[in-house]
Amino acid sequence: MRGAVKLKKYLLGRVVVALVTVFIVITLTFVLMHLIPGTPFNTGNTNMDPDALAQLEANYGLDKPIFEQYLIYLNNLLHGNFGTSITYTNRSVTEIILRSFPVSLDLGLRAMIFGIIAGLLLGIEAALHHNKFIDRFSTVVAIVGISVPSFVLGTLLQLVLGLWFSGWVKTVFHTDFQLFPIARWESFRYTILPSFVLSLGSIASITRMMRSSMLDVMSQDYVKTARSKGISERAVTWRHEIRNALLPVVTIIGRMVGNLCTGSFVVENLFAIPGLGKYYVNSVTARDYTLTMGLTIFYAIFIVTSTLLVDIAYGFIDPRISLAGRKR
Amino acid sequence: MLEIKDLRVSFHTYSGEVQAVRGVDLTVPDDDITAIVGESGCGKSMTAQTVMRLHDMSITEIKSGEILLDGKDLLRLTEKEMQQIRGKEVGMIFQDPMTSLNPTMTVGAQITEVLLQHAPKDARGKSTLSKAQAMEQAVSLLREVKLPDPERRVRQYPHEFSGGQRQRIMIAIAMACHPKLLIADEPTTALDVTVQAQILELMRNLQTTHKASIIIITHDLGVVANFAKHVSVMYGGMIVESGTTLQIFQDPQHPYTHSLLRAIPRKGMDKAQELTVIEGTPPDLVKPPQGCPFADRCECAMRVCKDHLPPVYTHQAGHTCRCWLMDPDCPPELRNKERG
Repeated sequence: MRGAVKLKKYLLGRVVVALVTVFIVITLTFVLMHLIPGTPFNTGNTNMDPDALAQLEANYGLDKPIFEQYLIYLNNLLHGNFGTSITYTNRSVTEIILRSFPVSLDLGLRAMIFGIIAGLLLGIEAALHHNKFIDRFSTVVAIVGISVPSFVLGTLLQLVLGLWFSGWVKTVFHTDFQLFPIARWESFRYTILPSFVLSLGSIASITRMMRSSMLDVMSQDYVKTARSKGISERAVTWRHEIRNALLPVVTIIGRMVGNLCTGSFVVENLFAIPGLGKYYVNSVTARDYTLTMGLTIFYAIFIVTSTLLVDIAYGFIDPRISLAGRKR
Repeated sequence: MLEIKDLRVSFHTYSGEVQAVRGVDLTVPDDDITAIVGESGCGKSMTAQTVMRLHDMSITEIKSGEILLDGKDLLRLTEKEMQQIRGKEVGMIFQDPMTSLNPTMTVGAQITEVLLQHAPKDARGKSTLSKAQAMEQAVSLLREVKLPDPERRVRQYPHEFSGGQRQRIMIAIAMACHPKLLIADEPTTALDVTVQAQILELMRNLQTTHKASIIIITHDLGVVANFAKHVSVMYGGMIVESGTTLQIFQDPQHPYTHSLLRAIPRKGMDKAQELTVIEGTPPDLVKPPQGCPFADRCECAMRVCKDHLPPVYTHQAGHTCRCWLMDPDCPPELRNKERG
């Protein structure tokens, strides 16, 4: 199996490139973090006793030369040790990731699945009914999705569905049941609003992409060929148009995985969801070197891996792309 | 037999209604090759696509006319009934083989698709043709269009074939269900000259073995001369002259046909000698001329040509021409001018 050998070689190459990428990310973040003025214990104005401050910094090894600190950090990383958070005392970075990432991932996956389904359907329908109502509707959705920030939409939904609607339910049905709770992350109904708000951006871009891709495919000669065979309109749409129109959309979906699943600070904050986003933003303002570094490296690994997976999937979807550059 | 009667087709654009086909009458006899010749935008492709009803329904409008395939008017069929015709009774080949095959389906799947679609159904509505049988048929079709190593190549994708090979695959798809009529819309335009000859040869062989008839749309008179038995010359949305290939090439009547024939480069032509060109541009079919569409560019145009559309005159048996010069009242010296 020459093909399989080449595929292995290709994957190995990609993994090496991925490792180099992550290494660059580590180094850059390390340098940038230390370039920001202040330290975890002194972000600019502190009344702390200089001796105590020096003692604290020595405890965390921050008094050593920066290059030595870098080597120590790299050495720890190689042993799988992300270190302990400086602000959240006694919590290791690994523990924070393990506890909070599943929530972000859950939210991100829900938003992705909903975004993909809604975006594809809307895009396909818009193209099939070009210039009709549904097409114009999809344009509105796309513009709203791209231009309205999630904190505006999220707050509006909390007000309308979370407050007014449940108030109405309460007066009519005399129950405290909330279909769309305003905050927290407990059962399925808690996930509806945040997932929807988070997915809107992807719905918008998938809709636009799928619509234009469909319109392009629909005017292709091979669609005319398909029709000239006498197959039904539905078979033309599914077998010939949608399949080909999906190819460019898969690429942008791949890019979204990273964005959605690594936690959105705004949406998580708005709905009081205990995800990673909060930690990330707080760690930067608090100069929590270890936490920022750990999360950045974690995100980098996640995004590099998902890109690689999408590229591999692409090779299976589009027969013209052969990953290993093999000749048949 | 295919008969087109007074076909008028328009399509709507931003600049207005384009009257692409303005009253075409055409008879395609069984077991024969008919060519439609004309320059870009003369309505020849539109005519062909209307036979298959493959035109974009949202912008085109069939104004009038009948397209009779063995007496059945294709323009009156429902979409479902039309699907029974496409691929089964009429096959079609397109101009650009590089873009007319689906890039994400194996050629085998693209051939079996048409076979499975039109295979007879049993009482429960299930196809009597299994996928494996269809695949076998696809292999023998590829063998019939002279594609080497069909057993292996049937599983490959279009990007693994050359332009000429892809056009062979298109022919295999179009001929898969043994249609009575094959419409070839500029089938060789996108191909190298040597490949052109092979494709035409293949089409002619299939035409004789399958006893099908072929309509070939082209702007290449060389293709016509070597391939077709009948020729219709189109200009400005109508057929201006029609006859056997011999009649058209040896005894052309319409000034447009004359000019076309004069514009062909010939072997042994002096390099310094310029090619004859037809001055001017084809008429704007948004506002088609009242009279003869060629009047503006015609060397023999008379006053009547500008204002009145000439009727169809019969020159000889099977040879018709739409030109006022054919009128019995036309002075003979004018008629001879075009031959000068």
